[in-house]
Amino acid sequence: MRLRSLILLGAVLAAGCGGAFRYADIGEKNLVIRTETSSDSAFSSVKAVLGVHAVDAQCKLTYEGYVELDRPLVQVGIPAERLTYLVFEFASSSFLGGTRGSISQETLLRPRSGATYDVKVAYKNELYEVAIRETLPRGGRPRDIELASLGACKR
Amino acid sequence: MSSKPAVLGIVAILAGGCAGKMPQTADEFRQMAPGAFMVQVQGFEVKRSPREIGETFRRRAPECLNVTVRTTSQTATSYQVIDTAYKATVITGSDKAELHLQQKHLKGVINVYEEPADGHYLFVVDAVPAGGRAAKVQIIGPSRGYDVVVRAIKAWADGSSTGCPDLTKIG
Repeated sequence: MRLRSLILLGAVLAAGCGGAFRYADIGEKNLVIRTETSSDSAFSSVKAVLGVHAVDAQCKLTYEGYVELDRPLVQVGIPAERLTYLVFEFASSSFLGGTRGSISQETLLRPRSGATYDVKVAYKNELYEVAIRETLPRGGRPRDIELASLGACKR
Repeated sequence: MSSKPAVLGIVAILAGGCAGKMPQTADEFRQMAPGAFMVQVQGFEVKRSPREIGETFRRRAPECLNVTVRTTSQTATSYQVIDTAYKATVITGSDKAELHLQQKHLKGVINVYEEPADGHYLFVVDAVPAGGRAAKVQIIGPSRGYDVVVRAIKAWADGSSTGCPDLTKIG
């Protein structure tokens, strides 16, 4: 989580202005995203958005689109066995003060073929959290996936 | 209170208490901050050991707090953009855990006093043994405007949540 807010604020602003585009889902929905957001105020709102970026061998990012996490359950398909950079952004705005801000949580993810990933995305009481749990195709105990920054790509 | 006045106020208050010198280390902050106007020292006990608290700090603080945040405020007559970088440092030992949070304004705020390379000290948190598996936690930081950070640190200390504070909500 480094310059994420700056990058993501740009993405959200771009989304609002029509400069960004929706993520073109692949067939197999391997990300099951459960989102819970609450602004704790009648005068403000919080919007959660997922940005999807492909990561090449040189760790360069290619933006592939955004997914609005505007429902409690959203399923998304991202390519298996390929490194993807997921950016979960929480953008808040105040109706009265004209103030807005965004904060985000990013992670690299290389989904395994056939595996599903339960993603918990929460923003409540001004605390946010993203947690990912992997379930392999043969079942077994799900395991927590540690979030990895883009810097981990080069390691 | 908007971010800019709050920040300037805290910096001025800390500097004012020491003839124009800002705390350059966590130790200096510990010595200078208590008693300063708009600086609060909170103490509480939790049923976790300093080692456990330190593990949580180590796991969550860099991920949650080493960020750069842009906040914008717009009114009919003004438009303000502030870029702020935060740097967390965690120090752990068998019988202690420390969390330091520094704040550096990259854009939108002019510093009056010389500050440490990673920014002025905003919070210094210490956890020490309190008998058994308990720990006494002390949070030194701003008395207002940073509630979300305090909530997160308290939750990490008592183990009730590992959520990250939304740093766009401070100030």
